[in-house]
Amino acid sequence: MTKPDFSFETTENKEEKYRAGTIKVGNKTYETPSLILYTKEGSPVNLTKDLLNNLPHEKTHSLQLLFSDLYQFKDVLEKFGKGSHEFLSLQEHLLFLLIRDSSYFNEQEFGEDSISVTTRKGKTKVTIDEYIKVVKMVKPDVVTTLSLDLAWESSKKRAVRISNATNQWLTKFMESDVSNYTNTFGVVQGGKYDDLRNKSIEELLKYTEKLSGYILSGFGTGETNKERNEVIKNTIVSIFLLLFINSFGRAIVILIIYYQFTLLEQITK
Amino acid sequence: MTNTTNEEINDTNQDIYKNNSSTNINDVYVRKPEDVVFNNIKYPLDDPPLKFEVIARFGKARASKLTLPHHCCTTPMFMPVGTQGTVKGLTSQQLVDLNCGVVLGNTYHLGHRPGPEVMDAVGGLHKFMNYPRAMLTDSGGFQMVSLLQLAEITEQGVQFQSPHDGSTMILTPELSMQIQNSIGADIMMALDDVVSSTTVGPRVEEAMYRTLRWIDRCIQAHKKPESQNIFAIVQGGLDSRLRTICMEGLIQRNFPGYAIGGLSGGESKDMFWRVVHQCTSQLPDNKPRYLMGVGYALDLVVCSALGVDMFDCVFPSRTARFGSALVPSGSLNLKSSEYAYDFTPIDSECPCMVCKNYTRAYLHIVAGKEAIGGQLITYHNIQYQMSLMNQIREAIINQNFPEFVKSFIKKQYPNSDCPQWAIDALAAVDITDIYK
Repeated sequence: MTKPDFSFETTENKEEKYRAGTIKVGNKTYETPSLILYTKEGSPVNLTKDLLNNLPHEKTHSLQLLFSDLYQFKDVLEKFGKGSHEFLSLQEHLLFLLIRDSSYFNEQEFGEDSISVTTRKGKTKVTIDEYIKVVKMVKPDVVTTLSLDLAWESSKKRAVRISNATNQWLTKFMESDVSNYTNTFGVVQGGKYDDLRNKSIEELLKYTEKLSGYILSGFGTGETNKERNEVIKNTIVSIFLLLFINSFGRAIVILIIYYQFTLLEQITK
Repeated sequence: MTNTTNEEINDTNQDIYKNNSSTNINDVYVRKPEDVVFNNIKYPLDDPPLKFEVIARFGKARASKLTLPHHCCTTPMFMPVGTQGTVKGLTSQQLVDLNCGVVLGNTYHLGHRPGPEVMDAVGGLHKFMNYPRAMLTDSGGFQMVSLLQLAEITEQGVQFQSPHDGSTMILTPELSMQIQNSIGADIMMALDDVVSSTTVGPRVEEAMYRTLRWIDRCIQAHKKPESQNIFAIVQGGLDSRLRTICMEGLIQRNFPGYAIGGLSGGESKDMFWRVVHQCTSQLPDNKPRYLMGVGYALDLVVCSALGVDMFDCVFPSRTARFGSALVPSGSLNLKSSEYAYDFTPIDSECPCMVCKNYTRAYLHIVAGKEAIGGQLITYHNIQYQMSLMNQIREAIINQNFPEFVKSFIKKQYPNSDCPQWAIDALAAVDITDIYK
């Protein structure tokens, strides 16, 4: 199976402070900036297919599939064999497979080669190899590199451990053949530590040709509005400086549904 | 009618009535002077905003067109229950998509919240829940049974404590009509003195006569007869004599339609169908007949055969929330692990949105666990009920109703184990040899 073509185009922008864009994945078109709908067990909350498809303005919506939800029925997906779009009856929409549940934050345990995922049956360890295997079963439009958010008040020592693990997972993920199956967004981590965020961006830069977009993550973990806005501003600046000046055509997703509009508004200012 | 001596009517010694509320089967009801079958109070309009046209018949079964102020419906029909202004799990548009005709609202709940003032201000329940088709509101009387531990029934009405805020509420016939007039449903149910179908003793007769008195108060309190219809409710428990008395009184009042109440409360199915059969035989042929609280598939088929036109029940939506999907062979417990890898729809012949788009395997994941599971299965179950009623109707019109009934039963009970009560009931309307 080959992944669908991915493209991202932005509108002309004289002031260079704002941008509207269009993501195209295969024959699906999706206008940005926009909200990625939350799901539970693969369905947008309280929206059956008819209701979702009758929402105004957009024909194609983007939905975040939670890895922990889909991991629970990976065996079913494997046997089904046609991917999550058809299994969830979401063929018309863009599916983002994400690790972070944007409805709440709970610091996850991790090892050198694995993360702990909470399912209905309790916690289970998922290795990077298994993550890649599940991604191939789910066949999302977009998947994130494996990474974990850390609590805002995490110590530098713990932050370094998570950052190092995240960077190793990034390498393993990007060196695998998963990019043949789906489009990948790289995740910028690092918590409140600028040096770790910059390091995260530098690591992502190594795979800029393989990455279709970037996710600014680690928010909603205990930071204040002021702290969050400061990090976003700095990270955006860093990404533009390090990546975008020479690498147009990438999308940025901010993965905090609760604060989506605030964040977008702040960015535009 | 029962014969009553002048001595009985004129007796003012209240002691002789002391056992009239008893539920002891050995006690005897003593008729009171106020226990009048017909008090010369008739329904205010001979030409109410309801038109009932029987299109086809087969035996006692009939297919008809029921024209109400907000919608022209076909019968026999099933009416989903939207207790608090919503059928749980479905939007109003989805109810239209499913071609529902009448949706029920609950006077007791809507009277508490949002209350008649809000209903008046917003222009009624149709606008409040954005449902353009016909609606029916119950009287609030059923809550007398379900909340009986909190209730005290008097001649004035039913006094009970609100489980919402603990306040004391007296639901009188007048208040029930006032709230229902504010809600603005096409059909309002008269407040009746409901007793459980398992209740025995003089209390049943007391409730029947009180129902006849209360219905006159309902008639007098009804402020919108040009736009809303009252249906009277036949009471009398499982006693055919009392049912006959009640129907005599109600029919003389000439209501737009009649409901059969006091069933589906734990009585035997054998008693159930006999009471239905009696009522449909005695109620006017030219008026719609509504069997309250009945929604199991077999009951719908059998009672349609007995001449019932309208049904309501929370069953299809409630059972959906527990993960049970209705199918021609009965039901599927989608929570069962046997469906974990079943990539077929709930019913491959069902045309509904759920069956066209979702597999049993996915529904197994969300059934009984996620709200979306209840929504999806509710959608399918309501479609099942609508489809079943349409099949019944078509069979009556096409004059192959017995064949349909037999086919239905063979799918539901393929091992020749159809309940005997259903076979007896169908035999009473000359539908026999079910398994031949």
